[in-house]
Amino acid sequence: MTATAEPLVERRTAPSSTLARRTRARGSSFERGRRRLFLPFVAPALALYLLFLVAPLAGTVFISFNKWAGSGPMEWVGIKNYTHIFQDPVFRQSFGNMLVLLLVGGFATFAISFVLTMLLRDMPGRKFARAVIFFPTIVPALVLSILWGFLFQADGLVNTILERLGMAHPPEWLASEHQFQMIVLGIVWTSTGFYTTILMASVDRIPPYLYEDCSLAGANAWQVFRHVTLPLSWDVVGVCAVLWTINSVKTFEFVLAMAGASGSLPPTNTWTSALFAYAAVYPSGGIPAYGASAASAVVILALVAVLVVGLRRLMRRDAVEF
Amino acid sequence: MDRRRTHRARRTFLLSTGAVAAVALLASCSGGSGGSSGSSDKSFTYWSMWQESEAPAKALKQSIAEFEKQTGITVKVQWQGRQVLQKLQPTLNGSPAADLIEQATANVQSIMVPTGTAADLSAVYDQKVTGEDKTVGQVIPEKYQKLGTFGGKVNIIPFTVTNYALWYNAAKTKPSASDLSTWASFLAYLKKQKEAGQTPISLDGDIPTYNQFWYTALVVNKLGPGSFHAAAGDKTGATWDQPGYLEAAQQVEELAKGGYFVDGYDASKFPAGQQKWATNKAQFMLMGSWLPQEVAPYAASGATYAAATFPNNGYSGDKLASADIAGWVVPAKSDHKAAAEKFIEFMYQKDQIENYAKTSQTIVARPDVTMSPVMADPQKILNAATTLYNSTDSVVNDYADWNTKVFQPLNDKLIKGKLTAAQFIAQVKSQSVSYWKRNS
Repeated sequence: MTATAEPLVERRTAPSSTLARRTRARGSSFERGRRRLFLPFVAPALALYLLFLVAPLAGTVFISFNKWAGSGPMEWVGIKNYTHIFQDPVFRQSFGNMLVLLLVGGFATFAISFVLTMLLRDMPGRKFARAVIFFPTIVPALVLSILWGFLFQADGLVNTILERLGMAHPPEWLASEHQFQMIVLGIVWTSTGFYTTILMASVDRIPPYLYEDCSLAGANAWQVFRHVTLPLSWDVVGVCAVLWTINSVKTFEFVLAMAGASGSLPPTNTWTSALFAYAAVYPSGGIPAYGASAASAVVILALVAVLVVGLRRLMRRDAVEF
Repeated sequence: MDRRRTHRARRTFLLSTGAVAAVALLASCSGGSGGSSGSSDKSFTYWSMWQESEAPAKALKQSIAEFEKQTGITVKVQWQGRQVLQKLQPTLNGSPAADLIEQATANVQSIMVPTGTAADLSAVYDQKVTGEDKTVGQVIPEKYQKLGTFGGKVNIIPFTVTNYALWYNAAKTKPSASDLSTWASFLAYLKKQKEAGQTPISLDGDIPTYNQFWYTALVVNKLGPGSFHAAAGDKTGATWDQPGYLEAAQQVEELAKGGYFVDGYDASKFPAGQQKWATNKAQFMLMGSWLPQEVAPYAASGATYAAATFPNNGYSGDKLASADIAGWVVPAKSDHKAAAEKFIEFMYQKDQIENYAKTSQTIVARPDVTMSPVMADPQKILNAATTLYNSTDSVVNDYADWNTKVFQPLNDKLIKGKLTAAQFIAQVKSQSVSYWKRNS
């Protein structure tokens, strides 16, 4: 704020004037007062931020360079935890799973959300439909993930229905080779309502006459989406993409609740990086590896940072005024 | 000038705030080194692995009340649940938040033993059980004591015992003693049952540890206790090529491919497998002695649960049984060790431990007390065994990470018929070699 205010002062006053110089140096009394109050106002929030966010983060980074069992002495190991996790096939698989969820799951979530948004835009009773679609977001993800597992297990509801419909051998949805796909599908299902609701709120702001114009011009659904809906909700799509990135990279409880049982860890083929970090600290047995867990967490953080900055740059467009 | 000063002030402020935050964090991490001295042993803190609503807690509460009345020592009990050690762990180095916990072997051996944070409780074994001539060490069989002793130090005093056995409903399934004596006769029996339209075995295949019971039991009952453990820790992987390991894998493969497991075992969610067993849709289940209690809410009426130890698979040594213990653990830095140890001794008094066994329907580590009738078979199995082996042959205790990342994923594939025995052995061997190369 101060930086933008100063050139204004400069332009308005003669450069030779002493008063102008003083003004430029100290700003108006209002600005000086404001500057004095800056610290006292910002300090409490900053202190809390440093104490509860930056300090634990710094602690995590520090732990990631150590071998530590959670109690007992710490042993400095440099970057060994990082090299070690990247050599670990289980971490690589977990990382791959996370990317599958992020990219494939993200594509599916947004594709379905847009389709629903377009379908619901001028549907009668859309408020009710919107509430129904949003409902999975309100229910705790844990409940849904447990339910998801029970729906698709060998004798679950889905297969019972398929058998009644005459399918002799319904698919083994939860067999090891399909398990992670089912997790991605479940997360897409639980997330779609949330993103549809946000996108619909943004689409509601688009003036209806633009859609009327489209229908008069004979545009098809794809053209309407491509030339009206998408450009005019672009900034919201960008925010949604960032939210999805952060949420999907952190995915943890859905996998733990759906694939794990009876207090045991899920099979490693379903792990995500976040679950890897959890399993390193709370293993089924053995010495907790806080260092490896912290390294995994730092890798996740770095990935989120890179992806979010990249996404913001990629999706930067001039705002369309309407 | 002004801006530079402001900038400097801001930097100083940031640094000082950062320093304060760091100091606060370190202070919170250290857990405080204070705490009361050992002289005030009029109370101690006990964190239980049970929830207050569970049956064992009911018995423990009665014992605590009696203990407080008799000794005047106050027990500050908190019902923490199974994750008690994970909750306690951050305080183990400073001033432990609890003076006494009860816990299973694997957790203590992995978290407390390597860090030296569990007290040596040898002295408790020498204490006389109040009102009896015997010491605590004399009422607990040596085979149980061994499972809680690490490197000569008594870190766990065994209190309850879990037996792993083949469970069946004796009202419906009636194998003879000879059917259950060797693997060959057992398999022949299962085959006959299958031909008669029965489903021989149930399994919750989504739990890697349950899947592992089969290979572990087959190897240990073929090559003896410690054989699976030896292969797990072999950095060259050569042990996997020794006779017996492949044969055990072939036996698992035969079960998987021969259709001995209940339908859907490879694509269901726990507890679907044990529900099927409890409703007589499958005959046997290889499981811990908690099974009858766990299936009670949905069990078919009229069931008479029986248990048989795993059949001999060619091992010619001692009579084996699989068992895990859970017991009393005192953190090394506890300020109230004496009071905690007194309570441990108190719990082995006949009426206290008997009340616990009956109320919780578990097997306790004092075989001369009367236990729940449901536990009669596991008790017989444990009493008859001369050597006990841990449910994973102690692999989870010592090589847990290898077990989770190398063995269990491959074993899951073997037991679900996705790998042949030969592929399984080849992959376990090669993955173990690279695992140990990375981790040594």
